[in-house]
Amino acid sequence: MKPRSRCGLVLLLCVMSSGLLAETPVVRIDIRDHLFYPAEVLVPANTKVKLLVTNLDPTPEEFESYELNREKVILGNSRAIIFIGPLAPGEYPFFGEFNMSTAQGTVIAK
Amino acid sequence: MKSIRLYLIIVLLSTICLVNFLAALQGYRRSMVEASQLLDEQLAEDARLVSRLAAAGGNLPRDMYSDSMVFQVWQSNRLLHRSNNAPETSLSPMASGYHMQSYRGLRWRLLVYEDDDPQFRVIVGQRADVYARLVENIIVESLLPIIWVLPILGLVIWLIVSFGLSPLKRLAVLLRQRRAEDLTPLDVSGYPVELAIVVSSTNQLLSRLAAAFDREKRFAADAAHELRTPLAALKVNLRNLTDDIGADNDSVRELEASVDRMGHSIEQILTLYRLTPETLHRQKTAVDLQGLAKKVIIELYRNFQGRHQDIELQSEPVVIEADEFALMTLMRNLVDNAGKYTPPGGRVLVVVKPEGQNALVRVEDSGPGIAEAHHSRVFDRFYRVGGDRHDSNVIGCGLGLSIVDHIVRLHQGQIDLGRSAALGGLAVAVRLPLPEDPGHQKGHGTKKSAVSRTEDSHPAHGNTEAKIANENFSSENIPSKKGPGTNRRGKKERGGDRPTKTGVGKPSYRHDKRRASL
Amino acid sequence: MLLDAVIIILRETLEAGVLVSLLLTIAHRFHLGARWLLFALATGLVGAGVYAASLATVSTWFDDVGQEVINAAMQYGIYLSLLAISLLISLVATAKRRYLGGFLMLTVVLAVVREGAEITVFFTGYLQNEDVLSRALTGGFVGLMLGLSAGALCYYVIVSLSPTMERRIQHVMLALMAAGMVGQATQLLIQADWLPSTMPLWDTGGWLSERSVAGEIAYAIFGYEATPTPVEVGFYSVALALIPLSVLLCRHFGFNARQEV
Repeated sequence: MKPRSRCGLVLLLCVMSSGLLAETPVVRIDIRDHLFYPAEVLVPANTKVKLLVTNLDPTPEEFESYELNREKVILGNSRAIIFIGPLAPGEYPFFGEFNMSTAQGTVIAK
Repeated sequence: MKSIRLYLIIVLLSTICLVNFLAALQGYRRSMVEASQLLDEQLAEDARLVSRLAAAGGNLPRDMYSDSMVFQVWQSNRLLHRSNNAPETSLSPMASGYHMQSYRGLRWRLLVYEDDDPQFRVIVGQRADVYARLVENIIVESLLPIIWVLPILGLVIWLIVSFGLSPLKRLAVLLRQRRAEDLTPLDVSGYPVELAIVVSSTNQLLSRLAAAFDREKRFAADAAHELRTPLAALKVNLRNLTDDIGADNDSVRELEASVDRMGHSIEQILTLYRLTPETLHRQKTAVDLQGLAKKVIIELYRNFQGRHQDIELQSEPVVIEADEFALMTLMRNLVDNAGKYTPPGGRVLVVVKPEGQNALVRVEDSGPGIAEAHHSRVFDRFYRVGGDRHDSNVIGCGLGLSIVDHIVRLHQGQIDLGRSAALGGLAVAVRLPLPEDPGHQKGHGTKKSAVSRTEDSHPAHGNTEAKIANENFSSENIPSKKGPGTNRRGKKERGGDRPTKTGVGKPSYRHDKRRASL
Repeated sequence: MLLDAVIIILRETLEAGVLVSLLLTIAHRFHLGARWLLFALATGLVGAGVYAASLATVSTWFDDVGQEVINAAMQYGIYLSLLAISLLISLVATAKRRYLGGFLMLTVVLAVVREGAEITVFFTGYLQNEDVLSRALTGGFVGLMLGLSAGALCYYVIVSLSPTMERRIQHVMLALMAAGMVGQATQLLIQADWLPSTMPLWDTGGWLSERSVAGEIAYAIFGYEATPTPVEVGFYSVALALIPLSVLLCRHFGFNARQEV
């Protein structure tokens, strides 16, 4: 019985969220030489934010954050959309899982 | 858990992997922390040095440091000094303390240092990835031997486990090779504590089993033996009684039959318990089955004659290593059974011949046979098909086939029941292994097996048939046998005095073994 | 590079390893052998390669959130498959047992495709750079061995339990791992903005960090999340409750229900 009602729920919520989409702020992050630019990303607190991550390296990267509960593979020379938030004010580290020692960054919600 | 060995190897290797690699990872983390602390201290030193030099008012050398280091000296918002690889703009936010920053495609650890003079601000930085790389190299170097040694470790564990399990293997081999009848205790010495318990428990079981066997054997043998004496007395008394009141009395005849049945049972029980593995092993000799079959048929001939039955023997010379008494009993039981359970006027066929690695003794009859459902049970002691289905003239106690089975087992043979293709009744086939050493029969055996092969490939070839002795017995060639039993049956035998129909005209033996056998 | 590889491979293989060892104990209990596993692993690896190769295309689907949606779909698939397994092993008459092997294989194939694709993408990124690749492979080997070892130990621990205990553990772990899958999948749909994103209900990060080894193990076993949102908690709870509930319902309404001995 569950899958059908779940699908219905998903559809309903999609409609709801698409209404909010218009006012979602977009923040751009670039990946170059396994580094995030900017490494510190300022976002408004308590608001859903759309991260537009562009990987300028030829190698793939995985945007990952334990604190934000996000995980997404971004192939080389491509672009990905990740929704985050709404976040309470604070610092949320993220990293590129494929290059953890260099690809580090923080989302700062204010 | 399927195998102790596999379990031990997998679990040990897994544990070693987990412990080693987790330790290495922990070491890696600790080293990283240590390294970054070192880096921070180094940065603090550098910052103090730069700040002193700047405070002294001298010109700082712009390329005195390697490329993996940068510095800037700021006063208010004015850049006083910088290293060649540093930008004109501020490397980091001006808040004093440590920062991580990306710059020129690299990751930098930066320290913003404020001297006592508050206007003076020094930023020094070192490449973070250099340290990370350094730590990583150390860890890789320490990990590689662990990885390379894993296969060797697996092999060593394999050997150790095999060695550790060897007493178990030894015990298993010992138990497997043991003869079924050997109930002597196992040698306890040389086993580790864990197995010594198993061995001693096994020994206790074995001795209890041996005692139980012994008790059973003694009881049955003693009981049967003790019954013989009163039975003999009973027979004498019965004889006297018959003399006194005449033999025409129905009750006396029934009594006579009952006493005979009892005597038969006692003899069979005694036979069964006289045949033990130990005695058998001692009494093995070369036994000529063909001769034995003839002997038995001659011995029982009068019974067949009494029932107007034909008995035919198709035989080839076969010699096996066996207990002659036991085989005699086997043959007698089979032939006697066939006669007893075949209606008067029926036919019985005895086949004796080599068959591959075995000697085959097959007794077929034209009786009603035994339904397949009963096949497995007829070997049980005291089991009779259909209880009292057979007419009460048949003396039997249900031990005949069970004794045959017992003897066949003792000789590592095989017994099969089936329907006779030739006569339509029961066919009992006993296969006993021929002696392994062909020299024992001095080429005799090999020649015979050659014959048997020829039969296989040329089923209808008359040449081989000539070798098969085909004997039909008639009263002329049977010496009259006088024994205690024959007199009592005198009345019945009178009817059989007319010449028996001489055997089957055409040999009923089929060469197609699959059809003829079971 | 080394640690990255260790962590990536470990995170993926730990979860898959525990799941596969759990399924193996079930196969062991019902004498299904292990050949199905080899077949499922081979199929899964091929599938992972295909998925990794077409990830660029997949990512552009559904307004650039195709990756999340497809991954979530696979994880919901694993959940349903695990639900079917718990039903099959707990009550259905032996005639239906033949489907068990199929669901075991389906679960493994989906899990391997899901986790294997990420590993494939990771390694293919370094095919040109031999130095980095060798380090990555070293780290990957360490991670793989850790995951395999954990799986092997898990298997033997479960198999060595008493039959009653073994059955209980299998049921509980099936339910937890299945719910964990739903938790992760829901997370992905939130990330894709298909489900509403809200503030997390609680934060247990201080108590059990997701970065710690224990946190990783908890993640592998029941999809531990330090800061779940209400939607996630709801989906997770429903998914978790659904398994024992449907088992009980099926048992109540028949299917010739007979408790497996």
